[in-house]
Amino acid sequence: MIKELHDKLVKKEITSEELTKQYLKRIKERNSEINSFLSVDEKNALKKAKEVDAKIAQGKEIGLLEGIPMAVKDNFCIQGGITTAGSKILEKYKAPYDSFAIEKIKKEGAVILGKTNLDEFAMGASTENSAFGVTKNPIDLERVAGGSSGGSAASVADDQAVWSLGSDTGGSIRCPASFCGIVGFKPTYGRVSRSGLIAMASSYDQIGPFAKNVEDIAIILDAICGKDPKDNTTVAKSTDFLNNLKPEIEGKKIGILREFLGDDLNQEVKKIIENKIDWAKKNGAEIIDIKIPGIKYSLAVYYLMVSSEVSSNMARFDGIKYGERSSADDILNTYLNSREDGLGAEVKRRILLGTYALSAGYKDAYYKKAQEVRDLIKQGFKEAFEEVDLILIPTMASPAFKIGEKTENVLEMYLTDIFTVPVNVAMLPAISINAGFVEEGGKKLPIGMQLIGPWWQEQSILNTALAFEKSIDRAKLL
Amino acid sequence: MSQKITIQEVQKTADLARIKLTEKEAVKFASDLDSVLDFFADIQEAQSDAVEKFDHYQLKENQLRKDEVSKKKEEFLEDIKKNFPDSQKNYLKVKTVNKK
Repeated sequence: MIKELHDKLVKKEITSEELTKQYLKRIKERNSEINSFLSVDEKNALKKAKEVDAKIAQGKEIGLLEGIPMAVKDNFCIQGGITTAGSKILEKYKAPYDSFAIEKIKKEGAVILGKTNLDEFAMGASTENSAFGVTKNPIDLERVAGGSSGGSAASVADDQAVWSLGSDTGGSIRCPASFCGIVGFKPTYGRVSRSGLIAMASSYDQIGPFAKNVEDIAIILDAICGKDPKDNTTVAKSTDFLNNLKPEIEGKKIGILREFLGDDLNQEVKKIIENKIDWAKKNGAEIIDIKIPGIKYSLAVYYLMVSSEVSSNMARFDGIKYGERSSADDILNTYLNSREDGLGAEVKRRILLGTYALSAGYKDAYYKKAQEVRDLIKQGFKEAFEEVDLILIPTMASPAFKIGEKTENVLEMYLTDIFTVPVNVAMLPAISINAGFVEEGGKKLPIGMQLIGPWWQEQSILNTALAFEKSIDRAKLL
Repeated sequence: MSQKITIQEVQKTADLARIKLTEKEAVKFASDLDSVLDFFADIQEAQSDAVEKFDHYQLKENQLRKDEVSKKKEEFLEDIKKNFPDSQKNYLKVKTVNKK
């Protein structure tokens, strides 16, 4: 989609201003229903669009992302703009600087339409934990868009943005991509700088794109990946994903984790995934059953480590230097009241869990042990990748659930991350693409599938995902 | 290590985390945390002693950068001050920290 729009801009079939106005109009029409955007910056979006149009009028060359309207999850700092992280405590917070990823896309000339809704501080799988209301799934308004990047996914699925940026700590890009029927990519931990991204779990968070197709994902990844001196976990590995993008399926060794495709999986999801496996086999891929010892501990390792890291990262929200400060008689009550008033239940729950897990007497049994088991899981993947090129699993165990369906039982919500979390535990790259639909209540609900690749092998994932994408009848998609 | 988390332990944890909990909330969190902690107990059985640390970076040396200021103070100061919940001149204002 990005290339087609770029060609139209270059050929002057449409101006960036016209394109941007189209998207702004769509947002105005749809946002009160869907609630994908928390804030829209019409002024700056049109200003940028006009700058790009002036450049085109002068006969200057423009980049692929230049003049194309997109959206950003509201846990990315954009200088001068309100960044809420989906929380009341940052309801009026104005970021003093741009995230590194935002600096990069601004350099590319992207038109930023606004900030999208998310679970508070990116904690959740449905965007129901946002302090500003849930984001509805554009396909079925009674269902969730997924989370935590629900707004970013819904905006693209509903044609309110050409592409968007989200973040993925335990599946927060892949889950909403799956529920909304679009493509979402979580790069290898270390590909994209987290500087300026409001931190949730520092050894898990990773920024990534949402788009309608794989080619767009390649274009965006080339723009956002790269070393940032402000994020020491990033590496100086250059990327050329778009230029090396070609469909690859023949001869690819695809690993299947059969334990995840058992009888307790939703049988319709199982059938959809098995159809994809059959298609791959028919087209020359070698299907290899694999086992990863330790993978069953992924969820426990994840929630333990992430809660611990969250409890540390959330300590800065104390009403002192920024954010909402509640009235109090003394300093201790400033902290207590500000955090009580400003933070939601799920955030508090994870802070408590993490604080408990890290407290004296428990730290070794919990966090330290979890770190060791994390290494066990990483080793397991490393050995699997000695036998296979990619691993294929479902993204989510079911289609989008109904709003309110899972909010009562904390553990039930956590269990929805079962297929996405191992990827973050192992710091691997993975894509979620649409694999089919399940019909429920007269609506066709998308089912996503993941391709997981070895560390730094985003190209391999993109190329095979492209092959799969071409196998889907495009007319059947949204 | 006990699996059941007591209300007292929840309150103590909440104090450490500067989180205020009502009696009712403490009870609810205790039960939430309990079910999650039960779930965590599973990892105890994992054989992780002999596991090698696997670093996917494989860097040959530490990545360092010069410890220098990249932007002028004035560039940020006004924006940062705008976010102060309470201020006096150029200073952030808070309740007394040190009591006599």
